[in-house]
Amino acid sequence: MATIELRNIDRIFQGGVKAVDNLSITIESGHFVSLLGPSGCGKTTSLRMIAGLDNPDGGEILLDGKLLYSKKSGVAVPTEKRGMGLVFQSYALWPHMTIAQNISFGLEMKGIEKKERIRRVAEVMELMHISDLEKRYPSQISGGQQQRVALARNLAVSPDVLLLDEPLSNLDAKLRLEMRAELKRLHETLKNTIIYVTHDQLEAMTMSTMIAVMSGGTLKQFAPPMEIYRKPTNLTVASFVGSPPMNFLRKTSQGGGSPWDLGILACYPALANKAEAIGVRPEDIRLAFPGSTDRPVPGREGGLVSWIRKAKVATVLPTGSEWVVDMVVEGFHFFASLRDEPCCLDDGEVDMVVDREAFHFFDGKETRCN
Amino acid sequence: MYNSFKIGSPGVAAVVASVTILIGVMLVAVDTWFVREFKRYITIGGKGARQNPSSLGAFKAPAFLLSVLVVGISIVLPLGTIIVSSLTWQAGVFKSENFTLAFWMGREIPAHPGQNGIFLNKEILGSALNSLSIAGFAALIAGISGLMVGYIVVKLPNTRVAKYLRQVSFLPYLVPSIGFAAACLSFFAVRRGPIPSLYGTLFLLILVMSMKYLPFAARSGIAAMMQVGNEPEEAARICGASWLARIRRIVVPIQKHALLTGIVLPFISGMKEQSLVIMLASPGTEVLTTQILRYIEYGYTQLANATMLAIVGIIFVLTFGLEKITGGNLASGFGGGK
Repeated sequence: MATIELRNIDRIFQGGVKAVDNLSITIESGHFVSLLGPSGCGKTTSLRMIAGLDNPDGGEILLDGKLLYSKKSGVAVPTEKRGMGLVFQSYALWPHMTIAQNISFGLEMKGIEKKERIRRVAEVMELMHISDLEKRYPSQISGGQQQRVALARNLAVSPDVLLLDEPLSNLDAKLRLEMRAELKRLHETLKNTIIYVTHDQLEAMTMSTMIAVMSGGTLKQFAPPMEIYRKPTNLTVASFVGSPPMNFLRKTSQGGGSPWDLGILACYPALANKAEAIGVRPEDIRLAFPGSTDRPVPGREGGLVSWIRKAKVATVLPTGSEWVVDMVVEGFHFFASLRDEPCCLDDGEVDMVVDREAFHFFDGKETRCN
Repeated sequence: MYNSFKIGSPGVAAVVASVTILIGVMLVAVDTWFVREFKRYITIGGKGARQNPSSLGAFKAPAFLLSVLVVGISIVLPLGTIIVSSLTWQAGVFKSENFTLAFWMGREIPAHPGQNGIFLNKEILGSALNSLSIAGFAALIAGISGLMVGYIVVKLPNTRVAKYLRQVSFLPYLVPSIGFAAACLSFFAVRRGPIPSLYGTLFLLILVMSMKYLPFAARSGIAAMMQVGNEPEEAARICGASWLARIRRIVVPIQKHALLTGIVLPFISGMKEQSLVIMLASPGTEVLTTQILRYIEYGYTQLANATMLAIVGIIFVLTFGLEKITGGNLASGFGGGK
């Protein structure tokens, strides 16, 4: 059991910068939770406060209902007594110790006897596939190996809570993918609580059981990955999650003579007066080419099955796995991402098709309203 | 300033000292400003560093010659001159009867009333012991406090304590040694509250010297701590290590070289220190450098040179020994790495 609860956490840095602003979140035992957000959103600060390396300026932190920190009642359990693991972004291996010594240190501090220590170190090195590095020093191994050692160092003491601060950001793309799979597998076997800080939405999406999207020191949405993707509760989450990012039409920006909503709201009478921004994901946009037979049928009982508009293709950006098409509809730019190579773009005229359910609507307070 | 003191006008000396201090304060202000402008870069993280030797190619011979030349001019030539001088009755005469070991191990050297060669000279041996204990203890105090200053500055970045320590530890550097000595002399000459009069004690010399060398040790400590940053220690906290365990097992071993530098450099400077001890040394607390001055005053050039060589010898043996024992290297200690 290891449930972590943050209640109204504030952290104000020198100069009055609010790094974390009234953050409340409950991380249930056994979950893999990602704190996702752009740099400077307070995610690392939050992690450091959970670890006790930094103290909040207000609020409470609880572990299984017991206070770890409270400004009001003056409780501050020091890091070394919290019994959590933390993998630093820079790994922070001790350069003067061998890999085995690095991994053994935490066990030693726990007062575990030598024989048991040797057994546990060997076991965890086996688990992380680094058994052959035992006698080497951190400077003699590669970045990916250092990452495994940093993880092994924490796993050796089998903490109930494992904190990870952008642990994969220093690895190359291939290694990152491998480590993502390994971390997920590890979590599925060990079933401990993991809090994972990252700015990489792909990492958060692929590994987490829950994602907490943060921005400007506040929590924007806390939900399972697919819910974050499918039903972002506000404009910040909608625009941060997704690659390429969501297309937006906003009431404040005016196109060339056309209404800002391009007539979309006419089909949603209930939202007509509320919505001030409309979003659609590039992968939810289909293109229908003039003359092709599978043209969707517009209009049915006053509503729409699909929304269709004439678009002019500006440019096509192939990424290898997909084709990103930049097109203009009545002065508004849209990006569509297509699985199949678009054809018949010679005259640059296409029909842009969006399913009715694919639109995201946000009100004046940037909150989802559909 | 020394002259103003000597001719009995301490006012003039004070003015000169004040001006020097003022210039120094301005320099520190500039330094602080620059440090504030630049972000801290951690150059040695947990990742360690690798050495990358590369071949000099065509420059091998010239580079070698240049280094030989530098070593020759700056070390071999002056040291050789002094060695030869300490072995001859008369400078510049290279005849076999002119060479002697009298200044090193003779008894009752002719024309030097009451003086034995320095190995048999009670005054010199006593002074050597004083020099060693003063420079040694002062270096230990300066080195350890220097690393502690570095530790606190890195631990509490952007706090008043850090800024205060940073600047206060640098203050002694601004004051001319002689003025500093004069200030300490007048302050500690009489009993003040619980502090007894310290004049004429080794303790005073140790205290003053450790203050004087604190700036160097603190700078080296701050630089070294900043290079390593806070994370190795934080990682140890995560592993459940107490503060003592962290210092003993993580901070000190990683900073071994920096600590060594912070101790050895003040020790070397302390052994050679002159302007500070000239004011504070009294009969009984004479050190090697004051003995040299006395010999020069008496015209005992060879004895002065022999004493000087003894200082060089002591420094060399101790530094070399320390490097061998700790496995460190003073020169690479500057870089703080392996």
